[in-house]
Amino acid sequence: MSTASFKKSFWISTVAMQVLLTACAGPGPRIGLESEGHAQVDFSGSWQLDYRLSEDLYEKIETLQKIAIAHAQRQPAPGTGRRHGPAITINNRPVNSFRAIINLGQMAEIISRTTVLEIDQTGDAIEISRKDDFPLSCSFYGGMAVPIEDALGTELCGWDRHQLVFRIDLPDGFTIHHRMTLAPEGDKLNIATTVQSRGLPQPFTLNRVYQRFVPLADEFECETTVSKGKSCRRATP
Amino acid sequence: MVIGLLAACATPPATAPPFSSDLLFASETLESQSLLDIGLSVFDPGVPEDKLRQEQSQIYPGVRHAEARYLPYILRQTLEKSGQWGAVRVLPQTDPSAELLVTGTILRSNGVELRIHIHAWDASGRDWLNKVYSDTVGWDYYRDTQNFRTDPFQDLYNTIANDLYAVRARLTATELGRIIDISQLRYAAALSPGAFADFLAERPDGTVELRRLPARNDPMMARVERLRQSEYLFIDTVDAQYQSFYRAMGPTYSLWRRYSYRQTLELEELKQSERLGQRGFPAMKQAYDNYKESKIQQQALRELAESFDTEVEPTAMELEGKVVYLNGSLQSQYSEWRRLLRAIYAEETGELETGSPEQ
Repeated sequence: MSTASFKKSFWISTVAMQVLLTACAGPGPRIGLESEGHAQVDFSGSWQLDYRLSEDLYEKIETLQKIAIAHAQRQPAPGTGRRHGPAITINNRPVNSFRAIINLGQMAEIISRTTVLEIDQTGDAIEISRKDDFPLSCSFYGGMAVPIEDALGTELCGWDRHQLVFRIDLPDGFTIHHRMTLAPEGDKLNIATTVQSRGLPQPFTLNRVYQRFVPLADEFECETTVSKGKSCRRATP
Repeated sequence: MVIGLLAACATPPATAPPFSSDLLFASETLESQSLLDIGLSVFDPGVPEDKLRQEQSQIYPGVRHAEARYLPYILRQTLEKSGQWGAVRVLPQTDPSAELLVTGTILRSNGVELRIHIHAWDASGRDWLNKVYSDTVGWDYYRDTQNFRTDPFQDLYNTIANDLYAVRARLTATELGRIIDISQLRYAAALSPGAFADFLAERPDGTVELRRLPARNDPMMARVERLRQSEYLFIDTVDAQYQSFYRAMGPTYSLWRRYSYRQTLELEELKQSERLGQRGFPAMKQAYDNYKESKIQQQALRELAESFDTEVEPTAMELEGKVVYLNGSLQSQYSEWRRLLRAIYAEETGELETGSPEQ
């Protein structure tokens, strides 16, 4: 492919991605989260990542790009009759949208990289321990879900019907959503991680599917102690 | 104290301006009768019961409970370092008979600001300090300091120590001696109200007046003093556990404050920046990494604080020729030790055990 045709292809894909990704992304944030726990939805247990059922970032981007290119090639630029779209601008500045989408995708991949989850769920709280990541916790109070704000960011969690949603707002208009959905049989858990950045017109969603598993009996038991710090040992049978 | 970039952004202290304070050291060897012992109670973590209020006030109970043990230990070190005082001990619970008792309530603690309400009073019930101390710190500290043993809010502790010294400096040697006498008699009266209550009288304002002193060679007083030394021995023993906790918590706590600070700083910069919303992958990743690390440190602190109570080792103490093992939290060990001392005293004097160890 020549440089010119590559640029043309890239430009077309950029335009088309704007249109397509809006539809491809997961559902947008819903502010009206409920705080009442859905007792019938029980996430508790141990979960491990199922790579086969989970989306792969680069496959997803590649697929989207192919669709975008095909779509854009069918769209003539307004007023010219030529197959070019208008320049994309944000705040009157041209934006390399495709690069931005890849950035968002990479962030979604980093954020949803954890392979093992341990979920404790009671009537009024859910704690999700994630391997190599910080835990997500949600406490339910009477009335609406209340954001937890601090200097580091803002967290909001709650139920959206049968789905549990975590929303984390970080500086720079960077927002993360984790939308957790349990399969009807209760053996699979989908976490749709959506990342969004202020100034970019569409979010990016990556779906990760986890399978229930029973931890091995001889796994390590870890504890944090004042004298030894974090120490692990094999669990007694 | 470094007042850095954020000084203008951080919430200003309620009662005292940001300050830079050097610790006042004793310029000469003080007479032992002028050296008051200080009891520093483990701080009140200042955690509201309502979980919703905790979260809205950005209070992480696990971190606060850890700080309630960590911060008094720094104050203890500062007071000791000044050389102005006798023994300075961190107490698992308040001891009203302490020559000088200092309590604290944590009002705010994040990487940017520390605000503590300090109340100090002597054995006679006279208030020494009853005010809120607040200090802010700049990024320079976090950028330059890797050693957790240099606390970012050391100026605050210096100021508390200096304020305590200022009160003490206004007292005469006679007045200081009287505080020590009252302290001993309050302890004695707690062991044996019948024998020692007459030596003290309570004034209408709640302070305690010394009416008379027991004879120098009073055998009951000698017995009381012996038991009190046993109590101090216990406090000195558990002090090692607070020290372990301080050492274990220090590095993690320092990291948590550092991340908390950096994120605050970046947020303030962003609010004033035209770049808002237009930063790329490195900025997003940085924001997420900071958040993730601070959450992980927060969790580690919570686990550490929880482990402190469960891990506290049984204390073996020699008491009247016998070895006594104390179990449970330091608070309950302390209570049990004081109960044993009272029981011994009652046995020796033939008195019935009365009153509570807390007086």
